[in-house]
Amino acid sequence: MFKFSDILPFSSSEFYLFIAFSIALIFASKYVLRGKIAYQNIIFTISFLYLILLFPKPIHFITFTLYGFFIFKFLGRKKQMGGIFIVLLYVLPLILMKLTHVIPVFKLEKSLISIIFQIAGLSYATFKMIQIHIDERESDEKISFVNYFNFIAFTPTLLIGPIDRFARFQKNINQGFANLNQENFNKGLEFIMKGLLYKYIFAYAIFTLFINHLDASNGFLYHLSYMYSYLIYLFFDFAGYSLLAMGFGYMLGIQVPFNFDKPFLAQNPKEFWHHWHKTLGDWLNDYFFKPIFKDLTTRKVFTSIQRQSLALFLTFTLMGFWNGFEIHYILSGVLFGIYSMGHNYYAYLCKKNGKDVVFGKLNSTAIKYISIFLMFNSVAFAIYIFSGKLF
Amino acid sequence: MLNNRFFKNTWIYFLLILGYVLLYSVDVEHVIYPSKEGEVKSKVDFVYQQF
Amino acid sequence: MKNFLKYHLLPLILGLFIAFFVAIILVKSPLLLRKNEKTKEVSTTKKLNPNSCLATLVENEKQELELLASLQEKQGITLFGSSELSVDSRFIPFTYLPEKKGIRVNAFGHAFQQNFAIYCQLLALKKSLKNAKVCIILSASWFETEGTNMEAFLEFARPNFLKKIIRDQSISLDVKNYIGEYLFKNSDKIENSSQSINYFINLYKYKNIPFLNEYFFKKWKEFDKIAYKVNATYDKSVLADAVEIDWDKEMEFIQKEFTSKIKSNKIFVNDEYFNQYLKQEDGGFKKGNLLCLPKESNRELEDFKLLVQLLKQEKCKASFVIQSMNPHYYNKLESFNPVLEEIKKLLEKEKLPYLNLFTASKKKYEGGTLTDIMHFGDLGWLKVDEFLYKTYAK
Repeated sequence: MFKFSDILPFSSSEFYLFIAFSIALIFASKYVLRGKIAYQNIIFTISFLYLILLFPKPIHFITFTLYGFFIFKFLGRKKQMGGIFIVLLYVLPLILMKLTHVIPVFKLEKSLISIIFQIAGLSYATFKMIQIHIDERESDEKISFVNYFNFIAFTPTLLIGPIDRFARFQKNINQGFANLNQENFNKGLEFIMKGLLYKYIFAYAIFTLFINHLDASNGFLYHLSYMYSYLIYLFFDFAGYSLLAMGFGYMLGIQVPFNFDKPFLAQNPKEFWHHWHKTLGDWLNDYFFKPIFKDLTTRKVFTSIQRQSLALFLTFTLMGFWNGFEIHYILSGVLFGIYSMGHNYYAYLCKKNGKDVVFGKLNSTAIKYISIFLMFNSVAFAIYIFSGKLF
Repeated sequence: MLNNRFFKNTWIYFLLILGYVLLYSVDVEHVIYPSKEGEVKSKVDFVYQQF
Repeated sequence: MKNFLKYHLLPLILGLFIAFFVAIILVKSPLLLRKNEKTKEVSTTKKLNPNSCLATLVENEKQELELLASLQEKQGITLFGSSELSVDSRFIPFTYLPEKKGIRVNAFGHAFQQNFAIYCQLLALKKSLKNAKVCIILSASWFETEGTNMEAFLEFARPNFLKKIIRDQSISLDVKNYIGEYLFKNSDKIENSSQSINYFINLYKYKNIPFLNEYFFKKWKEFDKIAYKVNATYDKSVLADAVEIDWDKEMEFIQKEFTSKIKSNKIFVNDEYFNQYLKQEDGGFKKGNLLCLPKESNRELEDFKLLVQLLKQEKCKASFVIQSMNPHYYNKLESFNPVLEEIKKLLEKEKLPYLNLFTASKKKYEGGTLTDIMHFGDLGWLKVDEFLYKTYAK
């Protein structure tokens, strides 16, 4: 009765069985084998077994990891290789995969592009590869393929993150079995229970009891209800998923970073991206926004605020493209870009004028609640565009 | 002994179990939205013998 | 360990306790039950044929009424069977008996209809079973299967029938659980399961959790009441006047006629079938095996017993025919004997008439009983005709 292929993380009972088996294996390695097999090798075995036994297109994914490792080891350190060129090499497969959704010839299930590049988890692997490349290429420590693979293919975070950082991940690997302790186990179990609650109870309930039964003939009211319910649904589903990844990560000894933390209490876009899909927000900030801003600054083009605005706009537009080349994804990215630009300009004006240019002397609690309200609705609208319901 | 973490976890377990019973066992979706019955089909198509 | 107990085990137990407490209050309240006062009427005014065979009930709901009408009209005979009902023979009961004896015979079924499908149909219509003349043709090959297959079940245990069973409070919970067990264990073979199928599945699934079991049982109130109305009568003009038949002479004649026609083999299989399916290039012929399941773990036998119990309980004038299988073709026919003994024992105990044409012995097998390897031929049908006539009309 068990299926042995095409099982994505957290998608079916077989996956949960596999991960439970993995946790048992890693604890047995600590307490029964008394650490005779190195911790990193066990993590490698688990990730490798998952790919080979359950993951769709394991060979493709492993080949892609080898491809990334090759670029990192042999091309990245050559000074003559320009940074942009290297990044393009990393993202080329991802671009080709995203094209399969929009170019009719690529869309065909049996088109060569689709067969080769339609790989689950490709985008998150790409993010992590770029991160290792930028942060570790000049590091003195040699990174072995086992460690590289462990970071890229770590089962709980393989598909939809959270996006860890290599140095942080490697720290846990080096600590080895020490992280497999009661405290982490209990914490992990807490994350898992909360994740199950979010994903399988809250998100499922919103979807089946509400979204599924919205009456499309209600026009504006329908779209409004959809907008809010979809946002709440997406939050619980995605946050639940991230919590499950964290929980199983902790149980395996890896302290996977958190991704969602009360995002709807954010008062501005900057705060929002610190609490909603945080690891993506941080990644975009560190590996896209900052380099662009730095580049623009060295070129001395525009004023500081213009440079900031441009960099913000480009960053969020890129996020839109990363979601997919469909118009609704791109537009939602652009919208988030506009929000950030708008808020940044507002903060700049407030600082310049020494007073709040919009709210004036309104009391700070009122400003806080108005800001939360505005932010929540702006996000709801952008996510509504993202959902593709409108076009 | 009884601190916040204890109550928080009790709350999570409570909601998980109650949610499971209501959503997956009792199937409240069908209670709230009784759908019309369509034709139920067998997934296995038997090739009938010559008769 | 202490933290695990304090932050997980204890919260789990406490959470479970409170959640069950709340769930019990909720499922016992009327909040989670819909009231349905609707009555669904299924009626027909079409003149009924007293000499028909209805292979399936899926085409429209009016077909269900044909079965009901056949059970309600106590003069004629209702015949259930499987693939043999599709044989082309002038001696088939729904042709022969109306023509020669003026007896109405309506047959229902086609290949793969087995005991459980027949049981569910009759269970739904059990109020019409009293004094109804029902004959069921059993085949040994049913008892080598794991019971009725899902496709056949869905074809005959129609949604209206299932609803009638659900709403019928005189049907015991054990019986409903039995249907639930079948559906639950075969649920992977059902596409988009209906509410009535879910009713049975849930009843079985939660049979050990009292408050959920009680809740799912109470959900019978949510189903439409099915009201069948047969506003039609049988077209008696089709029935001929009875003629005298010398059964033995007629049998001798058609047996000779059958055997004289066969040129290709000596195993009493008609030429067309033999040449198409059995003939081998070396001049021999293919053989098959009957792999009857042991009587201790034979789901089909369980279904049969339940069916007998229902017919007896509802005072139905039921009878059974046990069809032959060609012993020249089949090996291991004796594997059916223990089950056959069990069947015979039960029928004798319940004083239900039966005709056994099954034999594992080549010597005892009468050529012509079957037209091929497992379906009645003219002789077999005539024997059934005689049995039906003597059981019901004499």
